[in-house]
Amino acid sequence: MSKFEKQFRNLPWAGPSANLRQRIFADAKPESYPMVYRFFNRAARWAAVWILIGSVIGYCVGRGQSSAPTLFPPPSDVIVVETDTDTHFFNQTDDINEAIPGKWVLNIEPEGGIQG
Amino acid sequence: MANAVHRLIEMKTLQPELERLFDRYSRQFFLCALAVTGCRETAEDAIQDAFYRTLRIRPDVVNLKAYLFRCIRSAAIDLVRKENRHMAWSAHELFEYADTVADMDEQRHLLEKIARELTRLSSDEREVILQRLVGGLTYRGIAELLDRPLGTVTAWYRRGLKKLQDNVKDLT
Repeated sequence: MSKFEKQFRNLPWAGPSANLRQRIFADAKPESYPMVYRFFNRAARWAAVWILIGSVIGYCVGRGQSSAPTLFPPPSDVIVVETDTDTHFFNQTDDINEAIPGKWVLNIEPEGGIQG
Repeated sequence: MANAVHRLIEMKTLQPELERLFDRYSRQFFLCALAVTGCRETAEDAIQDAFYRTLRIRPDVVNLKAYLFRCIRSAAIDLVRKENRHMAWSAHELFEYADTVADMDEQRHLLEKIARELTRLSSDEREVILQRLVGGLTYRGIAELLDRPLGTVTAWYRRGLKKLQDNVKDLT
């Protein structure tokens, strides 16, 4: 290497700024892992769906513990009414509520059918 | 799912490798971009673009360092084209020196002269000289980077250096 080349090399050449490293790696992170973010987004979406479904089921079952009639009543809230005719026949939730608040009624018909 | 996990593993191994390469070759990366852009800010943007692309694409390459050099150079060329910049090299962009110190006047004039002379060289000559002398790359490395034969690169270097020497006699 000639003297000129050595002198040229030793000139005060500019270098990268101190924050370039952080700019590259800190700024690149959020967008550089799209698959990972997509994966977690999808997982979060499914988690939200299952939480919603669980909440609905939990609400319905939970209601069974209260006094109001529910979709899935606990056994203690069910009374069986045996009739020999279909005179005492409930097939509407409102009718049941009016008749026996807080209770579910299974109306067993003489033929063996069950109406509720 | 398997794909996402695979990519997660790749990402975890690629980023530390890129950080290691940056720590070791940041100056060369910077000069590689600066030799094209002639502007510090654009050179840094080019480096950032190249690393960002590499992190996103996760190239399956054997020599990641060489790949990064190529990426940085391409990004620098893209940015210069996009900004439609006229290449007017200034000492302020190329060198670190104190503007305010009176004693430095002579050195500043010299650096400004070198910047002017670099502007007069062809882009190939300028790039090869900066990569070789300041960036410390080998002729073979520069030939691979520029995708040109080794003989062509050395010829550019010699021709460019002679022009510089003829116009700037003494650099002290």
